[in-house]
Amino acid sequence: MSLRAYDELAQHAGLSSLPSSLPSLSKDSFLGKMVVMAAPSRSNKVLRNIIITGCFIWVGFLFFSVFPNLDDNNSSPLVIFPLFCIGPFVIMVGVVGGYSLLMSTLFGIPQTLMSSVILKRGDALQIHYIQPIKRNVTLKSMAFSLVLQESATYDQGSSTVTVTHDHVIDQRLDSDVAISSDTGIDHQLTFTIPDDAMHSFEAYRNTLEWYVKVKLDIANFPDYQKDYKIKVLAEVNDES
Amino acid sequence: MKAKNPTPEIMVRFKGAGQTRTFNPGDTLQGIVEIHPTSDIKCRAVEIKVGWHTEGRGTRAEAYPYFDRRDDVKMVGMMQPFVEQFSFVIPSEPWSFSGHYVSIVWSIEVKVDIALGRDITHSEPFVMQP
Repeated sequence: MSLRAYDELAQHAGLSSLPSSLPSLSKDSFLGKMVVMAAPSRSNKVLRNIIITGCFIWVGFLFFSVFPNLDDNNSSPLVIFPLFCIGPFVIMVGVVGGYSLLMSTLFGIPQTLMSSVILKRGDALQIHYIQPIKRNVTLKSMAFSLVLQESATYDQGSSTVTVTHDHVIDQRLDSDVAISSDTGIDHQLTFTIPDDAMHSFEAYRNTLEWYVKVKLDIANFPDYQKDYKIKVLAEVNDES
Repeated sequence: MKAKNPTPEIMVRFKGAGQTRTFNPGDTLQGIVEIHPTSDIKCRAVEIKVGWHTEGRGTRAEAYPYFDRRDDVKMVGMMQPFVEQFSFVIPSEPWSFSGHYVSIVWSIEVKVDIALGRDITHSEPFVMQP
């Protein structure tokens, strides 16, 4: 399959398309196959959790420290409403900015190359993950996971709730990995889509999505996680 | 007061299906739907549809690529049972799936559409997987 065909397929599938140039790797030299550069498709859940926790702490702070001390003149909605709104906004901007700053002191921009982002049962998925690191670190763990994620959305009262469940199909886990700033992370691995795997599925409020998830656990740092979406077709690999 | 319709016996017989009722994508699903009421039931129509729906935590999603509505059937009774053959080429996806929050269930749905009354329905699941 040509590089252009891959690109068109990827765009058709709503996945990352092939960039016009790959900074340091040849497009067709990687493992002797065509490659596509995968872009992360999910933001870090760590950020979301920190923001939610921060907002809860802010609301608790308002109820137990600020509101009891407000006199009648200051307890109008004009005072209370901004307290509820401005606090979470400041927390959100602070956390996102602080996290990005913190991560940029340690990590460069990752390059993730995959043999394909559109696969079938029995197909091998070759991954080349290159992550520049700006200073020497020891990772508590470095995990690459092939995940089938269920996602269901439903109404609960006046709000809409989405729940997810991950089936870890395969995982490569390394512990206590010393990384030099000279080399960074340069990791190659291969996952195989199982012969009994379910294909990607998308319907109204119900999805089954495949991801390659990269998670780096560094001491005294928030976890660094990137998710790369792939598509598993409802086809069987005849060669497998 | 309107008399309640007695629940009829609705049977779906699959042709060439084993005990597991498993079919491959692209297979032709054939069979017979039979409705045997214990008394006469006046109805507007009888519907037979084949397709999939989701079960689990999320809001139900569904699609029925095969749909046959028999508007000419106005009554089914002891002396007038309903017997209808169906034939349907199963599409390539989605495959049956049973998960934590999302399940995909293929089934044949039979509905006796009753005017101003509760419809009589019957669902017969099967597995669609290569």
